[in-house]
Amino acid sequence: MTIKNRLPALSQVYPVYAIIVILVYGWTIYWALWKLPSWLNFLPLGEIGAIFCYLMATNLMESLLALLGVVIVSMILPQKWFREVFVSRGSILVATMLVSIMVFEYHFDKPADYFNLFPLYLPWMLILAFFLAFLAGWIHIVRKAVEAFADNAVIFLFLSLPVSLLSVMVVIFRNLV
Amino acid sequence: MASLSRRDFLKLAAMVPAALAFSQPIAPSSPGMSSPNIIMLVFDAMSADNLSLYGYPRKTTSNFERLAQRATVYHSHYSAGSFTTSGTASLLTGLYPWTHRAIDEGGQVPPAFMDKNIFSLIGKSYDRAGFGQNIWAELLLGEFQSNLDVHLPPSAFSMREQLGGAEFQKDSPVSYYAYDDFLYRLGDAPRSVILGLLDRFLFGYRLRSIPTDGYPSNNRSTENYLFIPHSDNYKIYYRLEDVFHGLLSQIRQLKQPFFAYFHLWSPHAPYTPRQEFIEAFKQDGFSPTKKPKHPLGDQLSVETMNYARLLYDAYIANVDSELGKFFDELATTGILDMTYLILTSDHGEMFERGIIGHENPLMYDAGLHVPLVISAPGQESRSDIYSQTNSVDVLPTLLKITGREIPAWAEGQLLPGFGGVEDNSRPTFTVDAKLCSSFGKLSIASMAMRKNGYKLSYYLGYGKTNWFELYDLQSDPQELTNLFKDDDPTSKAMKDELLTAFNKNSGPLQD
Repeated sequence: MTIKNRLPALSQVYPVYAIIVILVYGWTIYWALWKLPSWLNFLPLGEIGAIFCYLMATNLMESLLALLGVVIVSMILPQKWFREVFVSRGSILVATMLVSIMVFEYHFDKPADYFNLFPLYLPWMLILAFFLAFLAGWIHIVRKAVEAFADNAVIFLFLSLPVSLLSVMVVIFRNLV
Repeated sequence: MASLSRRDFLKLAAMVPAALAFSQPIAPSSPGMSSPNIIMLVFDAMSADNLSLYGYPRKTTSNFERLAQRATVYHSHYSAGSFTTSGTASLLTGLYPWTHRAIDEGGQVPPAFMDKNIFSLIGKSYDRAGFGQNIWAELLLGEFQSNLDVHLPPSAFSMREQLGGAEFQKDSPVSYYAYDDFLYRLGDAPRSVILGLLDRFLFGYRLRSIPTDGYPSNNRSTENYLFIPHSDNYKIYYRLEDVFHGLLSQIRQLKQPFFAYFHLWSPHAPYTPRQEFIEAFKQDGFSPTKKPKHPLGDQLSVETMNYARLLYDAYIANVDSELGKFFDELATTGILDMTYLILTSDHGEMFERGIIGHENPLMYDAGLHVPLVISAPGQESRSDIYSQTNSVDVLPTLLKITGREIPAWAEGQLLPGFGGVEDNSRPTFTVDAKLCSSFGKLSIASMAMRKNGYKLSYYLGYGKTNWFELYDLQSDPQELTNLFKDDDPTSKAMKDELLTAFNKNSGPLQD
């Protein structure tokens, strides 16, 4: 079987990517909204816009990184286990992982904690994520619900992708000129 | 001893100019060779009240005192701002915070003031270098970078650094706001969920191998990096000696005449002196004057404040030790003979009234009284100035030194000893309005006015009522007795003058 054949279909990738976008962009935008009043206190609107361009460009990179991770998992695991139910299991897998990371980040902030504690936390995070992912694939109603949610979430891509690509161009332009 | 032949003498004579040429530490550029160089070292959060140079009982600054033997020492020099952003902006613009409006933590001057800075005014005939190891100083330098010929990132000379903004230095300060002050800022959860995790994990890994010999340690060896000089919120870890060596190396690369503005993080918190400097003060029995806790303070215990003070004093001594080597190197290489060396700070630090640090609106001298020492080229004796001066006076003085015109908008005056006169009747100000917008009316603020040896402080919007405090700094330098009374002529006169100045400047920013 070729590598191409092991890849999930593009129509299945979009919904999973949409879930990633909601969480990755949502996390950054949530904190940025807390910071916004402070920026408004001393930054001109143009500079605040430029900061948002850096944030969106960074979010684009990390969301693609997360997508790459889940696609690789799909390629490694047997087709029946993952690729055939990519939307439900991929969405739950990536959502559990991202939420677990957020919980960790919310509770720890010292660099030493990240190096010393995260490797201990990671196996439990993976076990939980894969357990929930496989549960989502097995339980019909959960699978359908996740697929429906992920499909509807695709609408966010129509906003996030153009904004992110524009942001990348702004960042490049600002660093060239 | 063999006699010197005429031929040998001529050979030696021919070598003299070459030897002199090679002994020059820096190559002068052709234009403006007669103009003096300027090195301005700003030590972040260095309170003059903790320097033995100014009479502090602990011997914290023996090298400052050595330099002072060939310098002008200002004994009553005050910062116009009470924290890095406002204090630094006043140094660089010669304006009070209520005018330049860089009044928020990590803020910047509005676009209308961007050309009003020392680098722009000194002009292109000088090689202008800027280094802000404190990111908040860097944010201001980033605004002025079109007027800088050399702009070093805050991470320069660090042992471990990992700054996102430094990768996009051309777009400073926006890149620093995005990455270092938001997405990857330490002390909070990363604002970028995946890359933030990787960034912090990688930095945690890199910190494990940081050499910490000579610094204190605790039982958790993986956290020993916390005891070397660093910023709590930004990923910069360094050794003081590396920074001073780096600055010397940078100075050698500058074309003459140059103006180098170097803003060092130390001795800002966290206070991380080498162990030997802590030991020097540990058992000295020094007991600072007890002062009443202030309602706007943190209500910390005397023991907590005294321990922090001990570390701070030791940190200053550590900085002073490295400054001594820096100073010797400048003298040995002859750079000092062609250079004005200016030592100062952007604001002070408090260890009194239940407070540690400077993140408060209080207007007491420990947080505002800063050192100012200026060594002029060829100066061989010490000069002491006791009249009050302010950080806004530095810009006009530098312009005078470099032969530039002083703009009408500058709010400071020439420093005594450099064309100015000792004048205690001139009102000088310190302003804190960090809770207000740069663009709006200053509705919550604290400010101090000094005049004729008195200091009047005004707290606006911090409680149900606004209040004034008046201190006679001559008879009560510890500011223990508030003399303010509504019917007292001095109180009334100073109150009217301060309110007039504030009302004139506190309105919404006009373009």
